[in-house]
Amino acid sequence: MIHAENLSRIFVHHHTSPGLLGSIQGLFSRTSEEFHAVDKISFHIGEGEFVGYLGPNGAGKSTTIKMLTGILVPSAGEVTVNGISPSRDRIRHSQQIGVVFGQRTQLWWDLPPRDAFDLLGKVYRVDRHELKQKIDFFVEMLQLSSFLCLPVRKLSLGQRMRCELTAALLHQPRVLFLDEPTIGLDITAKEVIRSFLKYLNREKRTTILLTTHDLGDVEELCKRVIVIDRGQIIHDSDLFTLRRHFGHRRLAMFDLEQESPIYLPAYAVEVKREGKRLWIEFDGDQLRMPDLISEISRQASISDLSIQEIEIGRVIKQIYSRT
Amino acid sequence: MINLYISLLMAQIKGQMSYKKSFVLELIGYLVVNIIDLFVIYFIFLKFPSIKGWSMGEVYYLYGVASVSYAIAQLFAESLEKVPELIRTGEFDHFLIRPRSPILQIMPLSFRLNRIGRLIQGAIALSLAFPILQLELNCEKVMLFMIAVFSAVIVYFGLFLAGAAFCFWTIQSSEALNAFTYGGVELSKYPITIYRPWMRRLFLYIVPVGFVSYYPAIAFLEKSDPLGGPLWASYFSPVIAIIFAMVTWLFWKLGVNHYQSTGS
Repeated sequence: MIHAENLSRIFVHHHTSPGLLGSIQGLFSRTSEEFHAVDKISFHIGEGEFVGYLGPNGAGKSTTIKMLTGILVPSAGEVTVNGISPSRDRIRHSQQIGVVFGQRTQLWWDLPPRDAFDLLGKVYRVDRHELKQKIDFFVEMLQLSSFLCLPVRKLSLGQRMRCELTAALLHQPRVLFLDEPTIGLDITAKEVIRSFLKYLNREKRTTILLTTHDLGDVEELCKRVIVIDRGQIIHDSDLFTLRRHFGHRRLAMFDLEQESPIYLPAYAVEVKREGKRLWIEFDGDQLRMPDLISEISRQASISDLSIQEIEIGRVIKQIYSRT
Repeated sequence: MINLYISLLMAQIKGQMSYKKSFVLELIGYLVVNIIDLFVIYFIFLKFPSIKGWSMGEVYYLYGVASVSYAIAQLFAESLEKVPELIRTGEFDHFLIRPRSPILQIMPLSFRLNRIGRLIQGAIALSLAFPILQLELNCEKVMLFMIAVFSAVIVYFGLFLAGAAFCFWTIQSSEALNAFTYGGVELSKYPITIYRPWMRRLFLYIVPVGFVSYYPAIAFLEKSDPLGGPLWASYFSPVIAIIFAMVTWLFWKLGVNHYQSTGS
């Protein structure tokens, strides 16, 4: 569905000296510097995939999304979505995609969502009858009815985000791009949006590419994760492989009978201690779980223990810090 | 296309209404300011019976055509002056992810009905001109008048577009370009023969504001051209205007491809 081949985007920054004189000088001679926001990335995303596109701030996530949506023209490389080039065939491309930017609104600030939906129906040339059906569907699904007739500026962030999703989906796009759709939302609002996205991906087979800093989103939604840093893809795998890749690190929690110092074997580190409760991270390849338990039980009696998977957040942090 | 423009426009007006601006007061204020110009022309011609061979009625005609056409262009294309702001805030992104021309989506963004003030002022100037000139209105005259207004509207539209396109490189609105839009409209209110040759050439051939107002006016007023321009020039103005607008449109396209959006 989405094919990117050596996709790059270079920004040129011009340095101008401060002050009026500087800006006049800037007209005649400028020193410029190239910045590779996205540097020769390649990936393929199949139809119906739900992909998390992750990376620290300034890694090139938004620049990639903007090239995939046709906002930015790539400096080099090729990109097609459903066989269409986003920047060369912008009009046709925008008919098949939906985009939500969590930090901005594409609704009309002073108008109620209802009016915005009607307008967007006209923008996307959605048949009137079909549009009405669509709106009714989303109103029901995302529970919009209580604020459908309030001006957008009066909506809460959670309410607005549900409307943004509706606005992006009225023309039934085959691909949905979400740039931090859950940013700043409370848990209930996140939950509504997540379960809706799951439904969309499963039932409607909508291909979804999501950028987020919320790892709950990733764990709950994405089957595949692409990690970008400093303009380059540093990891691309399904969530399961990603976990296993770093999953040889395990976290064990011990409850001891008494507070006493514990001497740990090699490949195990005490990460936290709260009274009699102790968290130990260890490398599962080097140190077997039973060995760790017997080692600790030699020093103190264990009243309870549990093994936890390392959270995806820690896994991704590890990827970031390795480069 | 027109359908969408009207829908977007209605939405904009509905949004504006929620702030309850006093439209009538603004309109009157705007009209009063602009009508002073007409008095200035009157007082000038009280002292001098003609300026370089142009009479009061003729100048009122030129002035009227320029005002009416600029008012029409402004009414539809003024929103393009918002483009620098849209670029700076990154809001321009939204126009690119929709399957319609960004120009069409931006045009209805700010529709200031009080611009009708200028339209009224232009109409007053024309209504002063006709009785003074005592011209016989026939088919050809009406057509020449339509040609003049149409061509000028198109050229002004092109100027608004060029001004907006510049912002893709400079981010800020370019004051220098206002010299051509506002300068152009002021200039075309008076016969181009009164200006210096370099300025005349600039506005005749490069930014054809002068061309499209001067030649149709000459033909309309049945004057002989002191610059020795050909007769067909007046009928040629729409073509010149469209070519100019096409060039600015290509420039705009280039600008859109150069768009850098904002961070995050």
